[in-house]
Amino acid sequence: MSAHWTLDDLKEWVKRLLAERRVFAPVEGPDGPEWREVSTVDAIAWNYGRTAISPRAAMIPRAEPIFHYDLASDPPQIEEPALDERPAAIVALRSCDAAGFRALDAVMRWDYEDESYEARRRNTLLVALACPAPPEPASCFCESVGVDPLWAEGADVQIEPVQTQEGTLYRVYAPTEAGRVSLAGSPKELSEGRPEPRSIGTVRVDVDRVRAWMKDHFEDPSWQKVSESCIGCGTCAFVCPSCHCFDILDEGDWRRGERVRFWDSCAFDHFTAHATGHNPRPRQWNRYRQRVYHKFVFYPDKFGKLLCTGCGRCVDACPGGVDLIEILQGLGEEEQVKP
Amino acid sequence: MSHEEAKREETWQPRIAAFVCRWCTYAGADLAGTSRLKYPPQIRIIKLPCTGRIDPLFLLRGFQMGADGVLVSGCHPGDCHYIAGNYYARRRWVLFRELLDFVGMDMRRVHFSWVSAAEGAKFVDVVKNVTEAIREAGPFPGFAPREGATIDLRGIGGRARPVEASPRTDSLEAARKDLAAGEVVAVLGHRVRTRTGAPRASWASTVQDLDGLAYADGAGPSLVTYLARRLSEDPQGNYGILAGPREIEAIEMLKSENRFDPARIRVYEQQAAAIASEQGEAWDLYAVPSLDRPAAERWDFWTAQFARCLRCNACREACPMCGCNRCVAEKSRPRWIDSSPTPAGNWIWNVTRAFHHAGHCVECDGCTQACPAGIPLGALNHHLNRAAEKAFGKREPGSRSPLCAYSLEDASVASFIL
Amino acid sequence: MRLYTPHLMRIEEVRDETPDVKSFKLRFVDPAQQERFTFLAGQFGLYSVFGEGESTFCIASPPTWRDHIECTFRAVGKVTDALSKKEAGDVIGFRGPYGNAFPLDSFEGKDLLFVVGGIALPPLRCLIWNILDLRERFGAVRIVYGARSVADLVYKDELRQWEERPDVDLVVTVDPGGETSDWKGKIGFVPTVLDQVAPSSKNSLAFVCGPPIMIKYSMPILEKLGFDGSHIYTTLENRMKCGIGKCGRCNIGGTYVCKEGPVFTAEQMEALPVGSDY
Repeated sequence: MSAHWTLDDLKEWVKRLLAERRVFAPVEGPDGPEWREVSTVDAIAWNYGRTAISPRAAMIPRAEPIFHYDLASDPPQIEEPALDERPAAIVALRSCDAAGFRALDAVMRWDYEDESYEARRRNTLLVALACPAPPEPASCFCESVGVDPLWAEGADVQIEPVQTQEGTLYRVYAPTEAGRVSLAGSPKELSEGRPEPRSIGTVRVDVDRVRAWMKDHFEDPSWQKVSESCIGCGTCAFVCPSCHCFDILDEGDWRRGERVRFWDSCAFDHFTAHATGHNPRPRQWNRYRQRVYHKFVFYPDKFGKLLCTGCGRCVDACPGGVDLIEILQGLGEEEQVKP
Repeated sequence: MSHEEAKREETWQPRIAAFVCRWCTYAGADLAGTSRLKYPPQIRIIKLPCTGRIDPLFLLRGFQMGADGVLVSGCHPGDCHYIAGNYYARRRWVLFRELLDFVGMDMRRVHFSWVSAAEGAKFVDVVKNVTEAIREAGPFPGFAPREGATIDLRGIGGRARPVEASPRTDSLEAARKDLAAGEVVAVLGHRVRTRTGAPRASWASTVQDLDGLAYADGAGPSLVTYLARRLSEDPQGNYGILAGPREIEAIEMLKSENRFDPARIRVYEQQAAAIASEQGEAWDLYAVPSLDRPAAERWDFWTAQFARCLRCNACREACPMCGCNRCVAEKSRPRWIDSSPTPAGNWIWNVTRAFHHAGHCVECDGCTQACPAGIPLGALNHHLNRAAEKAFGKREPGSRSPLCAYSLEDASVASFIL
Repeated sequence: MRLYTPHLMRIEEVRDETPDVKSFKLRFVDPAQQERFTFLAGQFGLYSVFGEGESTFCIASPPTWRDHIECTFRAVGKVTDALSKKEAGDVIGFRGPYGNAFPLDSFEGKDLLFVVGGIALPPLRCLIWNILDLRERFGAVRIVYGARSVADLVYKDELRQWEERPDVDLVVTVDPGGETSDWKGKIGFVPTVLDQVAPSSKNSLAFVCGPPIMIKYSMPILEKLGFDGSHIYTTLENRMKCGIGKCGRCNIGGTYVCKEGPVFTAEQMEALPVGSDY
C-alpha cells in the first residue's frame, strides 16, 4: 500500500464522510471561495486560497436560539432547542482556521462550559489541508504567531500535498483517535509523524517585540494614529476565525419569540455603551485598541496563547485599509511613536 | 388551524394589513360599515394619523408578521389634514414600489389608494380589488431564500469592483496655508500604507504631516464619511478635506441637509476620473438580474443575497450619507428590524437602507466595497437613483433630497394609486 | 437548564424606592431551585423580561435570607424600563449568581465602614445585612450614606431600622439643596461628611460604592484617614451580555468585571486603566 493518496482517494474518503456526517468545506462562491455545508464531494474547492470569512460559523453560528419563550401560560413556557450534536466534519481546513477553533476552545471552556459550542465541537472532525503558499500579495502571517501552515495543531486528520512526478499527491496523517477511526478501511496508508517544517513565505511580524511594547503602552498616542481610518464596521471581527464576542437579545414580542445569541464586534460603538449613555470606549480608536490588546495581551495573559492565528483576513477585508500587519510591524518603532 | 396549515389546505385566505390615515380612509371605511356595505373580511385595518407617517418599514414589518399583502390608503391630494403629508407619502410610494419591484416582490401584494371620508363605496371597491389581487398572488413566501432555488449569485462583489486608486495631489498650497494659520485643525486625505502601498484615509494635523498626504479617488470609504464623523466628534474645530467630484457632491448634499455647518469645512479640490458609475442601468454595472427578468427570478436572487448578510453594518458605517444619530436598525423600543441575522431582518434591513438613500446616494460604492459578504448593495441604490431622477427630475446640487420634497406634478408618475 | 437560560422567578412584592428606582422581592417558581440556590454577598445576576432582554445587577439581599432574593434597579434602559412595569405576581427570568464576592471571612473581628452614594447602596446593602445577620463576628458597623435629595434615598425603612439599632452607626446626608423642610439628617456631599465624621482606620475596612465623582473625592479622604488600598473595597458595573467571561465586553484592561469582579479592592483598581477610556 502506498502512503501517497490521489485526489480521487481523498474524494472517496470524503464521500464516506458525507454518508455519516454533515460536511463543511470551501466551495467557489460568488465572491471567491467560501465555507458552506456541501452535499457532494464535487462541490469542494480543494485548491482554494483563503475564504473571505472564516469557518467559525460551523462551530458558532452567526445566530442561534438559546431558547424559545411563550408567555401565553403562567408560568411562561421556556423551551431550549436540542443541542446540535449531529456529527460533522470540516474538510480542507487551513492551519490558521484550525488554530481559530483552539482559540475559541479556551474561552468557551473557561470555567463555564458553553454547551452549544461544546456539542458541535465534540462532534466535529477537523480535517486539515496543509497550506501551500500565502495568498498573493501575502497578507497572512501565521508563521509569526506560532502556527505551522503544514501542520494544524488539534486537527483530527492532516492532509499534506506533495509534489511528485505523477503530479500532486497527498500524504494523510491521523494524529487523533477520531481521525484514525474516520480513516479506517482506507485503501492507502496513513503517514506517521508530521511533515518536515518549512516556511511557506508568510509575512514576518515580531510578535514578541510588539507584545513587550504593548505591555506598558496602553496610553500611547500611536493608537489614535494607527486606527484613524477605522470606520467601526466590525468587518474584522466578522471574518476572523478567533473572534468570539457575542450579543444576546430577544427577537419576538410579548407573546412569543426567542432569545438569540449572535456575533458581535468590539468595533461597534454600542458594544460597551451603558444604558445610562456612558460609554467606557467612546472613541473608535479606543475600540480598535481593545481589539489588538484582546488578541495580543489580554487573552494571551489568561490562556497562554495568542488570540490571532495570522490568517490576515482582517487586513484584506478592512474597507478602511487598517492593516494589522503594518501596525504590528510599526508599533513601538520610532517613526510610529512620534505624536 | 394555523395560517401555515391553512396555506397548505384549500381553506387559505389572504391576510392583508391595511395602513390607513385616520382622517379620510378610516372614516371612509367607517362609512362603508355604517352604510352596511359588505367587503371581504381578510383586511386588518391599522389606523395612523397620516399617510405621511406611514413608513414603508411598516409594510415590510407587516409581511414579516404574516401578511400576504398590504394596502396603504389616505386622503386625496389636496385633502391632507396636515396639508402635505400625503404628497410626501406619494413620492415615497413611487420609489418604494420601484425598489420592491427591483428586488422581485410580487407587486400584486402591494397597493396604494386615495379614499376620502365620503367614499365608503370606493373603499369597498378598493378592498375587493386588493383582496382579489393578493389572493391571486397566493401566500407570501417569507423572506428566506426559496428552498431548492438555484441562483447564480455571481454579482460583482465588493472586492472585484475595480477602483482607480492611485494617490495623487494637485496642490496642497491652500491646505498648507490654512494649517499654518490655524484656520483648520487638520486636513483629511489619503496616505499610502507603508507595507502595501495601498491608500487609506489619514489626517494631517501639522504642516509636516501634509507630506505624503494625497487624494486617491475611490479608495475605501468616501473621505466624507470620516469628515462627518470628525465634525460630530469635535463640535468646535474647522477641518479641511482633499475632495474630488464624488466627495464634493456628498458635501454639497450634506450641506443642503444642514448636516454640518459649511463654515467649518475647507474643501481643497482635487482632480479625479469622471464618475463612471453614472453610465448605464444597475444591471449593466453589477451582475444583478435586470427588470426584464421574471420577478420570481429577481426575488430568488435578492433573497439569496440578503440571506448572506452578516448584519455587521459595514455598509452603513462606510456610507458618507448615513448620518442618523441612532440608526433605525438599532432602535429597540420598539425594535423595528431584527438585530440578529434572520432572513426577514436581513431583507428588511438591506431594503430599508437602500430606500433611505433613494435619490440621496452619491454612488461612491463604499457600501458594496465594504460588504464582507460581497452583496452588490450599490445596485439597489444605483437603480433607485435612476428611478428618482426619472420620476422627479435630476437633483441639482444643494437641492433637497427627493424624499424630503414633493411636487404637484408627481401625480403623473403615480398612476398606480387606486 | 443551560448556561444562558434563566430560571423563572415570581415577583412577590414590588417596592418603590424613589420615583425611578424599584425593588423586587423574588422567589423561584420551582421551590426546589429556591431550596438549592445559594450565593455570596457581592455577586450579581442577569434579570430578564422575556421579549425585551436581560439586564445585569447585583443581588441586593443577603445570602442569609434563604426564602427569597431581592433586587433594586433604576429604570434607565429597555430592559429595566420593562422590569419596572412588572407587578407582583408576574414572572421574570434570573440567572446567576455570577462573579466573585466579598471575602466575608476575612472581615471577621474588623470594624467596617461603608461609604455609599445614591443607587449604589443595593450591593452594599446585601453585605450590610449579611453582617448584621451574623453580627457578633464583626466589629463596629459605620455607614455614611448620601443621595442627591431626600427623594433619592433608597431603602428608607431600612435606614430607619439601622438608625435605631445600637450596633449600627448610620449617618445619612443629602446634597445641599436636596433637603426637605423636615429633613433631620446631614446636608453635604458624601466625601465632605466622611471627612467630618472621620472614622478611625485602625483595624478597619472601608467599602466605597457610588457614582464615580463620589468615589474620586472619597478616596483621598480615606487615604488621609489611613486606610490602605488593600483595605478598601468597591464593586464595579459594566455592560454585560453573558455574565460568565465569554461575550467579551465587560473587561477593563485584561480584567473581566464579570469573572474577576465585580468586587475589587482599591489596590486592584489602581492597576486597572479605570478613569481613562479603556
